[in-house]
Amino acid sequence: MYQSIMPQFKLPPWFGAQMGVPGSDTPLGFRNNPQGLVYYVDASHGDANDNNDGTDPNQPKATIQSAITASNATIDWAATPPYTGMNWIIVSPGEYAENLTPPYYCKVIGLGLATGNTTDICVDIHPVAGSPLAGTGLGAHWFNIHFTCDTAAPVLDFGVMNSCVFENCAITDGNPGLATVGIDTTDANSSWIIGSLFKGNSNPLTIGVRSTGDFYSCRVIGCEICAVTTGIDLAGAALCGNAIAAHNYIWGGGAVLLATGILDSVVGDLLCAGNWITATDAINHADANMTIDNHVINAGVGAIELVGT
Amino acid sequence: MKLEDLNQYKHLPPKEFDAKLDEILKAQAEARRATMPTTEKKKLVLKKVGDK
Repeated sequence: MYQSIMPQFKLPPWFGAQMGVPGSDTPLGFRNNPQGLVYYVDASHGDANDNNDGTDPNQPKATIQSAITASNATIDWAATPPYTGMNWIIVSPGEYAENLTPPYYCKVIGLGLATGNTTDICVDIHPVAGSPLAGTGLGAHWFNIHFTCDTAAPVLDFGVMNSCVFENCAITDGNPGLATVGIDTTDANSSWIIGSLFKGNSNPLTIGVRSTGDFYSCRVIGCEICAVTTGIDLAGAALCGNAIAAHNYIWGGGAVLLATGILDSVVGDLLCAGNWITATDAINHADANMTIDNHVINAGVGAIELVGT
Repeated sequence: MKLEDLNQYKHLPPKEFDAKLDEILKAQAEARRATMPTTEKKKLVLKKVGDK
């Protein structure tokens, strides 16, 4: 058997990765970079309290909004860039009945599995009424989080949504047929929606993703979008340059026949490539040259189109 | 108002602060739209290139 002739080293027991940063010297600390802060949220923790500063995993915050408020308070808007090492918010699994106002320049990481249907294995932001998240998106990365809306409102309701990422998230209608739009924005720029699931309870969302202003340089990639009216709706959008919808599965979720898969009938700048869509009208686009190799079934005309639409 | 001016509003509740940020970013988007060609303008340009 091969035996290393190299001497063995042991790392020192104390690792001061974030020297001077509260909470970073605990063995349970999550370390990301030398300057950004890490906040912990765990409503089920015995010592959870919003009066904690939240940087020690043994004394987490009880609500996500409290961590967001603490993180936003570290931003110096007069500086360039306004943040010093992007902060992280680490959220433990559970149901959080909150109507959040967004963090800025921050990563919000859900532990557990966002695809789980029960809150014991995922972070479910699920208020009694209204949108789980509403406000202005600016430099926020949401990862592995389940958002649920029970009333007639968008699940994620943004005015401006700039430089945001939604990755591996589940965006759902918790009360069949009530939530209106999965991600709704009046003006989006450079935001990515990746690998996320838009689904309903027994009835899908009305619209998956919608922009009524710009959708400039945005991406919708690798998502499963279940909707009733429209999967991706850019009919009211203004600037859609550099925007891409690729490798998505867009359908009615089995409960209904989706009316329109991708709607870019006015501007026609959204590049649609490699999507798999079943709908009455799979792709309604102003520029056929912007649709490449989409696999669609237009139920209305009974056609299967493999190249373009 | 610019992003740099937001420090003076940090004491506001999250939703009120967010409204100030929204106002600034919407103005930035409006300015961006004014400097970029609309689809109609873009298509006219493409047509001219094609004509050549």
